[in-house]
Amino acid sequence: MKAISMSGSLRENVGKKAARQSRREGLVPSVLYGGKDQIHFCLDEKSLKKVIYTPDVYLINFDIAGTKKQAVIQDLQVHPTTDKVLHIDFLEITPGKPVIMNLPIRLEGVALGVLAGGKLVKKFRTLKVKGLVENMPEEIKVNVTKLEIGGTVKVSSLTSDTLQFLDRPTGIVATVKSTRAAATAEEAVPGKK
Amino acid sequence: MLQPKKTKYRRQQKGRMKGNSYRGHEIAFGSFALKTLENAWITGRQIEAARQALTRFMKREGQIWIRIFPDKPVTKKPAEVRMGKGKGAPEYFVAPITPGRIIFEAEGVPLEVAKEAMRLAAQKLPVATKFVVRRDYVEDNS
Repeated sequence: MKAISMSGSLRENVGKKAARQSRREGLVPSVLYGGKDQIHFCLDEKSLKKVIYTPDVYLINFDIAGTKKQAVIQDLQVHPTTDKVLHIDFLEITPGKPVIMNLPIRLEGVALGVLAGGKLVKKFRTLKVKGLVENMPEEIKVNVTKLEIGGTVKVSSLTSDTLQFLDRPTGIVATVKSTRAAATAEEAVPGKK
Repeated sequence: MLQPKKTKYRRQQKGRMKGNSYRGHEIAFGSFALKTLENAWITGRQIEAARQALTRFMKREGQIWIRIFPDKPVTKKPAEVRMGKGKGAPEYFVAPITPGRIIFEAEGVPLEVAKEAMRLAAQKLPVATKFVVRRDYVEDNS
């Protein structure tokens, strides 16, 4: 899993007025929980862009007023019209305690169905998994080379020794859909109905 | 045209719209979306006209989602009728929307195609809108 370092400053006052003031100064009010205590702090808006506007999931090494913590993004609030980040929740990582995360999916290989003229469709962008942070991969690799037209890869077919998949087992991760070109090519083959 | 199959009551009061849309303001299904910046009543006809503009430009490729539904009946009195004698008959349905609301979402087409399709769709709507892209969107991963 990718890691990044960030530093934050503790919030002296929590509340609407102080939060609005910090947003005006280019900071994002944040909270870190999941450990012993919860910490209210502020982060620089610009430094957050790398972890927010990306499909990758980051493990963040925080330095908040001298205290070192490890965390992952748990929740994000954005303004309805401006899409500015208003507040972020971080989940503190405790060694030995599993966390639930959404990991991006990467399809590997060229499917047989695609070679026959079908179209590969990815139904899930991320998969919800539970496991220890040290076992979390950057992405979940799904091999689609054996997929024919109409074939599917379901969540139940994905296996991992260290991770538990929390999405419904019947959920389709990827499929090869038939296209008009593939259908007409099949009809043109003599002896096939 | 979108409208409810049946309604519990035939007529509704006008109501008031205030504040931003804190529900339905984030992209949930596709990669691209059209977001409103004003509040308005969007009629079923306007939604249908915008949908047609969107799908025609996308040449029926990709997929679209309509995130609003006109479930509020609007009544109208007939022409040349004196005031009184009760509320008019239901005429059409509207979807009341407030700033931030996602109206359409699209997926399965390149960014430039989606942008132009959403621009054409926005011209059919009575509100100022903006084109938005999913936070974790990357061109080759779409």
